[in-house]
Amino acid sequence: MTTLLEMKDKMIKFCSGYELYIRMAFKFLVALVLLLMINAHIGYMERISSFPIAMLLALVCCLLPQNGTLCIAAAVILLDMYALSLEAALITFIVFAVVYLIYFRFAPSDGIAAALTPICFRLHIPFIMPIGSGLLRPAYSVVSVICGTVLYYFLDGIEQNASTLNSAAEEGGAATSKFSVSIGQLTSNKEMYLTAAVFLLTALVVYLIRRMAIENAWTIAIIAGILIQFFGLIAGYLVFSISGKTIELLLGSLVSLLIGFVIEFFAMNLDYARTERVQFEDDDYYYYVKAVPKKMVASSEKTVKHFGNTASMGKRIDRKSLAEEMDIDENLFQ
Amino acid sequence: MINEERVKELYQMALCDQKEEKAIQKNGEYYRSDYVSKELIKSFFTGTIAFGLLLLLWGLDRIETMKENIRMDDLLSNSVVIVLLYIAFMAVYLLVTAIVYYQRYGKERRKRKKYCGHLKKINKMYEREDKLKV
Repeated sequence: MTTLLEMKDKMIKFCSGYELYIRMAFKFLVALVLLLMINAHIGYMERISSFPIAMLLALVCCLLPQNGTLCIAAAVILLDMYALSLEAALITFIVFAVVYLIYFRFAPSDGIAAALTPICFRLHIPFIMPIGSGLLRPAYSVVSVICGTVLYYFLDGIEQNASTLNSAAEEGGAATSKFSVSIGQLTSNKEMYLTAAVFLLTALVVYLIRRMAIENAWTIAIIAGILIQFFGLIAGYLVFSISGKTIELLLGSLVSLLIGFVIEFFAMNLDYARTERVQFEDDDYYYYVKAVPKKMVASSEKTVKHFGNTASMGKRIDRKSLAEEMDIDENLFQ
Repeated sequence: MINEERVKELYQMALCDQKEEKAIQKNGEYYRSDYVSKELIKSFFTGTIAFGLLLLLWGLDRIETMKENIRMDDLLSNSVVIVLLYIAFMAVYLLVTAIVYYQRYGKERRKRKKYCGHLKKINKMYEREDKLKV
């Protein structure tokens, strides 16, 4: 444990020392992964769906503010949708605009959660998002996770129905049917509603538990969040007859549990064994204070070991005494 | 000679400038009521656009059935429902706006006070130094 705490201290020192570069590297990484995933799944416009273009855009993103990544990713998605069909592009634009106007106008700093949610879905660990949101952010931040969830399922639905949308375009199919197919990904996707509802419940429960004045509140919140998601989604899959998701859910939950503990280790690592309780009063109130110290390691003291004659240490050695000690001529130093 | 205390205060001010510059500036320009009203006006337009887009989405989804079975009575009753939904949507949207920006103003005001505190300390330090010089 001490080694881990020392590592944590070193990492925090390293991050605070190179904060600017680490922030830029993080933005670059998120943007690159996001753009590569877009290219791999819905990269219908070949001209912009190549690795060099993704690298170039990710480099631009690391110089822009955090929400710049979202704007560039949205532009790339719209161009890809346009290459697939004009109707799909129009519906995608409306969805983006509504999400922006309804939520991101009020909480622009939560954009990163909306970008990370689809990435986590592709990595099969979306369950960490509502837990992370509940642990680290205010309660309303779960809306950004839900926005990310809706966008993921919408674009996933478009990807699965791409052949329908494309063939309809080639055969000159009616625009109305293409609209119906695109909007259907939002209105008739039961799995999306189920996941969004479970995520909302999870984030709220995690937020409420981690704010409680109980011992190991964060650990209990993480475990409760994972259990709610696991059993909530299993029940939902049974009700809606969705099959083939159990193993993914189980493994994703376990990995998310581990990531949750890593978050706890870095953000809230308390030593409950050294809890102190004090009581005092002033003119207006009587105070019952419970103070829980953070787990810390004392910074290791550096000791310098000296070898040989240490009698002259810290003293100024003049030329004459040095020459005498070395048994050489004093003039040799000139 | 460098005044260590002043450097500390200047550092705190630079930190505020870097992180909260916009918020501090905006907060100083308005009273709370004006600030919230300005955001309510903005929200009226953005809310109306959002509702319009949702309505468009709904309309595009049902365009085929609407083309086939369009009747004057349905159109009237639907219009009434749409207007009622619009009012309800805007009421919630504007209420959320008012709550969010009322609280945000308070937060920004606290930051501005902190910033002004540093500014006052620095001014006093400069005044003291000037007196000593004279």
